[in-house]
Amino acid sequence: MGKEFYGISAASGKAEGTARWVLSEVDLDSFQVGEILFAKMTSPDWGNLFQKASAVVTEQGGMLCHAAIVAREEGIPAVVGIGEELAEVQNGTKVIVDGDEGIVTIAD
Amino acid sequence: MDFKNYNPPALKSLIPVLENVPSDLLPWIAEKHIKYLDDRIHKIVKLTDYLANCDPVERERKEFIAFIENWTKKDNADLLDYTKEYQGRYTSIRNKVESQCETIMKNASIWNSNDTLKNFWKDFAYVNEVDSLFGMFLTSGRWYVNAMLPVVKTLIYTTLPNDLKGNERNETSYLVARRVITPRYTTVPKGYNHSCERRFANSFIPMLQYYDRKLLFLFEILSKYNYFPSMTLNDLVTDIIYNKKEYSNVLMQGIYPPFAWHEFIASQKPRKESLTFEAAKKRLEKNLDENYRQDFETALGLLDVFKEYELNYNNYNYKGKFGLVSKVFYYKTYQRIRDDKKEEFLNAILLDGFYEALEIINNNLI
Repeated sequence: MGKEFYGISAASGKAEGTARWVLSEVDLDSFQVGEILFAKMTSPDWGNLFQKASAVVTEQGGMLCHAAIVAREEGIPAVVGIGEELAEVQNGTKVIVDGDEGIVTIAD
Repeated sequence: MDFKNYNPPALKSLIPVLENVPSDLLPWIAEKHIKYLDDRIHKIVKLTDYLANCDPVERERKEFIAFIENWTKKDNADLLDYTKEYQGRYTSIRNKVESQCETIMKNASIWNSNDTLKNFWKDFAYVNEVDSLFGMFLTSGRWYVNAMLPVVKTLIYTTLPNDLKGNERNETSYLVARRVITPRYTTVPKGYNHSCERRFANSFIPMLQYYDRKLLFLFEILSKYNYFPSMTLNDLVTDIIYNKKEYSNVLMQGIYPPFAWHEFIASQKPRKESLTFEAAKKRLEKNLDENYRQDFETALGLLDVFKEYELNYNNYNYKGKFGLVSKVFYYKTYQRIRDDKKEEFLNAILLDGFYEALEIINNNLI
């Protein structure tokens, strides 16, 4: 296992997948079903992105933020508020998201 | 105990407001509202910084932060006193916003001269910048404090492991509350025990899930309306103009459906069954130290009250009356601004830059 990033548990569950950063609506089209949504924070106009994602990880926000609310609603794990160090994770990196412990681990 | 006395002022029907807005202005209002709502999310860091550094309301901002911070830090805080004081503050600013909405809709004299318009705008900018602070401190965790912190801190205090006592218990619950609600500005001391934070966050998730449904109540209501895939925002606006009766259930609750366009689209897909309050409470209650049962129950009751405030603020400002009336005001002001400054004015005001807009108005009225 690789580096661990500590954030706040915001929605329960565990998921493993590929990290995909969405920084604006331009990135929406390239997002594939089952990928892990990485964002500074999320937006209400990202439509069905949360239905495609298998987990959500954000730099900012706490347990009350938009990403947390929608992840709980969609039943996918979420770790929020990790901070700027999350930028170290590149697109395509395999990660494990533990929404119960609030930890994101690099898998490869 | 009945906590309803602590609730925010109830929202009134939007039907009388809509009757006073010219129908041909409604498509413009809806289009701008949704476009800038989306823009606002994408520019949220810039907007947060703007509000965090807006000089004319610096005193109010610092006082507000100190008010919440002091109550959060207090050992054994009386949450009912805190909520009463919060209610007074919230109601006071809402009354001012309401009074300005009435002036915009009914008092033609503000349009008498450039000076009367500028004077009104000066008050409008101040009141709404302060109101934005209420929004930021209620619905957001991006800032230093959030109005729910004292309540969440008590939930943490009452459910921490019972080997934590006295000052250590108070300080740990304060830090955990700050971490789970407003992590961006929370630094923890060396040796901070993350396990307390994880234990609480994990037990708090079902309770939040329960309240998420309360915040997302529009999904439930809007799912009953007819949506077709090629439907546009303008179609919805037109449908409401001609079939107001059909939408009266939502309008009576103070909500203008086009302002909930994203929710309307999302509402069409099936949703999971929601948790009951008792089921949601279970995981949190498992960690409760029975010595603090009364404080725990009070905090839970007041969490419900603060979620009412969050809903009330969103519905009034973003989905209801203020959204409608303010846009009528912006449109009429826009007509009075020099052509080369018109777009600059709209960009500033539709992103809630009240003082940026005021500056443009002060120097560019025709």
